[in-house]
Amino acid sequence: MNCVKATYLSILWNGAKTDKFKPSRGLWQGDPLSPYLFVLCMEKLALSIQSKVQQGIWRPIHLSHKGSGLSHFLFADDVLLFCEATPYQTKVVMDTLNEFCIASAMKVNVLKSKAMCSKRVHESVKQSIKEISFIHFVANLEHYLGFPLIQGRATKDTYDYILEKMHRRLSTWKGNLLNKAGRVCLAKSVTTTMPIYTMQMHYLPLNICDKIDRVTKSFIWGGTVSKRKWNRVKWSIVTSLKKFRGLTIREAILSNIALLGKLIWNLLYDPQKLWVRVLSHKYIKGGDIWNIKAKGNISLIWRSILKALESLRQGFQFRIGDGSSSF
Amino acid sequence: MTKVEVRNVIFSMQSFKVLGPDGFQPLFFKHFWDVVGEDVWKYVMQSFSSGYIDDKIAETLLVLIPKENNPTRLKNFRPISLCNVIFIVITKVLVDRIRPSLDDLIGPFQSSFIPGRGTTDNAILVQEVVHHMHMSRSEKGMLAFKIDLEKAYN
Repeated sequence: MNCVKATYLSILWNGAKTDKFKPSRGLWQGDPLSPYLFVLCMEKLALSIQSKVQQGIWRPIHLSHKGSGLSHFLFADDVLLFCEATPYQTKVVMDTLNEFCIASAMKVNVLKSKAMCSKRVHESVKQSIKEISFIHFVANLEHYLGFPLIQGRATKDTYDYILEKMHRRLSTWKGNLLNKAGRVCLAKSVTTTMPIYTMQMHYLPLNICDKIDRVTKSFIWGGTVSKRKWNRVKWSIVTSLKKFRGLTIREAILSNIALLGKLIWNLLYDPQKLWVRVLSHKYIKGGDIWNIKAKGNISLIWRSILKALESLRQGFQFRIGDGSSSF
Repeated sequence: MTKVEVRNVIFSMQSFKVLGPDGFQPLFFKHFWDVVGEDVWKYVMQSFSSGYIDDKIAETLLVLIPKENNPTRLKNFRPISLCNVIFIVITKVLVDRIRPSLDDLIGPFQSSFIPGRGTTDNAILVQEVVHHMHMSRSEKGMLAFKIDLEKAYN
């Protein structure tokens, strides 16, 4: 405890040190221990929610029949809560939060918080929920941890923000001043990093993959993103390895499949993971992952996984084992 | 605690990263480990057994980095604290002890800062729930709250 309390701070201000003072609250910012202490404190909130779920006071959302209930997701200070849309449940949620806030000296910022409910909820119910929680309703939550949250099907516009970001990074003065080696380097760092975060769980439409490749292409050859210039080397050579005289530029669609491959790996070999358990229960239902067809209202994630699985299918082969595992 | 543990902590730090009020960077400790290692180890041991850290060691420099071009309020600054390497070593030894057991301590719904869990784990599930809510035709509605927590100063 002394370790947390013992610090003295002095501010570097205009190049000089101010007087020492002792911070009286909060976790200390530079401490490697702080994130872990924070996580442990937030676990208290998770525990109190869980006990309410177990007592049956808090009614969580079930994704599949007899599937496990989902009531809360915490990522650092990002809190998402799920329950049934009734005024009573809202009151339970708010009581739990207030309890936690009093204990932890945190506060819910009502203006920045959002609420969303499913379509069939009546307007009057919404109104009374809002009166209890003071949190305003939105049509969709838009983003969570940097991933777009998509309702229903993804459209072309959903992923336009990736292209926009790439354009912004590439179409500055840099392109005109750099030589080709520099441009290749910049293009690599931009195209291999920006879309990748989204690619981890979304199978980008071919159209978007194409556009990503095209942006890279025209930037490398012409120095601008929009103007077309002639390629002097076949694109398939550019994307190949250095030892085959390529520039090792990755094609968007291939890196997408590779990244989704990680999810498939988790699905097959990491059954303890929460999302693997929930999704298996919902979609596989004890069946065989190789024979699953995309049908009905499957979510975007599952659709992405199935698509990647289709492409990776040839890479898998049966191996004779000793019968100790099913795969 | 072993000397190896302390040594691992110091050598896992980046050489030019932490410049505390005492002015010694991790590079110094790495380079002269043969000379200072014994003393560092002893000090860390002693502070753990006594539960007391010298005020000079615990001193921290706070640098305010502006988030915007013309900062006018304290909120526009991001504080970065620079602390002494010795102090970081002490806390990092603790961290290294805590980390392996975090996976068992923390429930499955929290995925930040825990080895073996990532952003995607939560994001996949949230996406799934949002999709489920969108598709649901049941009269029994579902409700999602996105809560923004902030520190209360009162």
